[in-house]
Amino acid sequence: MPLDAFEARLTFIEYLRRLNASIQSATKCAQFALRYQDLSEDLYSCILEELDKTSLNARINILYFLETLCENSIRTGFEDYVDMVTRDLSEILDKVVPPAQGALANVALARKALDNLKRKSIITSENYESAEAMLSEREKLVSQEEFQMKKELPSFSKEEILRRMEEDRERHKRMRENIWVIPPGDAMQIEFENAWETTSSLDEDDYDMMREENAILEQASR
Amino acid sequence: MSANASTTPRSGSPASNPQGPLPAIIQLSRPYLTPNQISALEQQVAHINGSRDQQLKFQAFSVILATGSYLRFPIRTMGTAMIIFQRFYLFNSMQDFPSTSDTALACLFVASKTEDTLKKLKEILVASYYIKRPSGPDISMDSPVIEDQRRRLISLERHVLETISFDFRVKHPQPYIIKFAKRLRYPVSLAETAWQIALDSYRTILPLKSTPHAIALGCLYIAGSLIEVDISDAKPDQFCVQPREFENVVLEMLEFYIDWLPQTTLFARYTDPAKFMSMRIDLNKRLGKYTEQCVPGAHLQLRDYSMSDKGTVRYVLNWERERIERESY
Repeated sequence: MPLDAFEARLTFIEYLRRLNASIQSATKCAQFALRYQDLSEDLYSCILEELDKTSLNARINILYFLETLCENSIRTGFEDYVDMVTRDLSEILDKVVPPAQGALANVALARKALDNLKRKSIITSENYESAEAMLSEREKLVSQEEFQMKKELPSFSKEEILRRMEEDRERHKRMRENIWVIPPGDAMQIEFENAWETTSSLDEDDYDMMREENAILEQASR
Repeated sequence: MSANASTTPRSGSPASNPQGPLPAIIQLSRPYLTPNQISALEQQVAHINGSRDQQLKFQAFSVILATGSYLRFPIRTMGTAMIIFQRFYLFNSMQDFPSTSDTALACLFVASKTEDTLKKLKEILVASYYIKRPSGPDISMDSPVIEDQRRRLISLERHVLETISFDFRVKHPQPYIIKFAKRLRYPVSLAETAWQIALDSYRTILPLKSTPHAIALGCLYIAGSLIEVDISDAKPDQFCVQPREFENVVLEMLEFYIDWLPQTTLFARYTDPAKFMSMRIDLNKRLGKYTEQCVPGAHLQLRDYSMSDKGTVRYVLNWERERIERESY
């Protein structure tokens, strides 16, 4: 069903506004963006515009949606969205963690999203480094007194707080389901290299475990 | 104790005990089996015939590894699946459970749960479908073929869980390979080769007979011999491994490579079994005539599937715990 640019933008914005932490909402939105990929520039600009306008909570949902969008793009072979996100990575993070009151709440999640993008090879190490540097700078800024939530000023409503908690819980659950996935490439090599880097050296705890295991083995002969 | 499961007389009939019948049968988990127990079980199990049996097992391992790769599981998930698979066909016959590929997928599903790398059963089934038919008609999770297979596998899963006595403690050699290699200051290439050998160790019955750190040390030893790095300073007792156990691991891995090299991970790098044969000769020379330890262990029997129809079955991880709990009633 071909749409003109105007209609497509409106529909897409609706999808963006309905984003929550569930993977279904993100997938629906990503599939729309990919179905109308010849309007990719238009649709992408909607994302940046929404990031300027919506609440801090909604911005986090959009950031996580971008991860789904990039994954699906790579899978279907249409890389333009990935290029655009990579190019604008710092700008996107700037909007997700703006120099504004309450932005500190988004820092940890933004960092995790950035880690995911690197781990899934959606962005390169270089992109990651510069984005991470920018994020750390911003974190320092919004941690200061003047950016903390003040009682007199308008802040998150009770509803928003509860919804955010639910969405964080959902994201955490999703992350646990995916954190073990071996990224694309030679799995054995990736796993070995990772193990070589991260495995702690032989220590007393290991000796305890080995002795315990020997004891269990010894029971077999009883 | 004369069998894998034992009957313990309990007081309290269903009528007098409002919580229902107390456990009538206790099954003790045995993470490790002695060589005698394993050969006794193999004799009890009615197999189709010797080498065909092994081929079916290798095919099942391929299913596990290919499906696991597709789903991007870490090696420990696939390894656990292979260990569970082998244990399954020690206590259950292939005549009762003829579809080894169904069993392989059920084991992979159980492993994905115990190793905390959860995937829905239907996702696993769809993945194995794509691997068998890469150009075939697309299939979705709602298809009746998948739904059918899922139902079969859910009931198979119950048999798998009962066979492993709901004991999800599986330890792997990989972390020890890294730790030992670093402690001994071995080059990365040695550790990487040992890592590949560890994958092949899952194709043998070793994980049911030996500890993961013993297997790790064995893998490092063979790797060292292959890439010609001096490994003479690796002393088993330094790493909580009995010298006998260490020798057994190495010899069994060498036997395995000599007999089945084309089916192994190392075949990509070493196509001539002669290398392994000369390693075996050298080792036997140093040890004299080698015989595997003859510890009998308790007599074990094949699984009785009707056990849970006769009464409540209680699965116990070790006797100490069971005794302590019973004393507190």
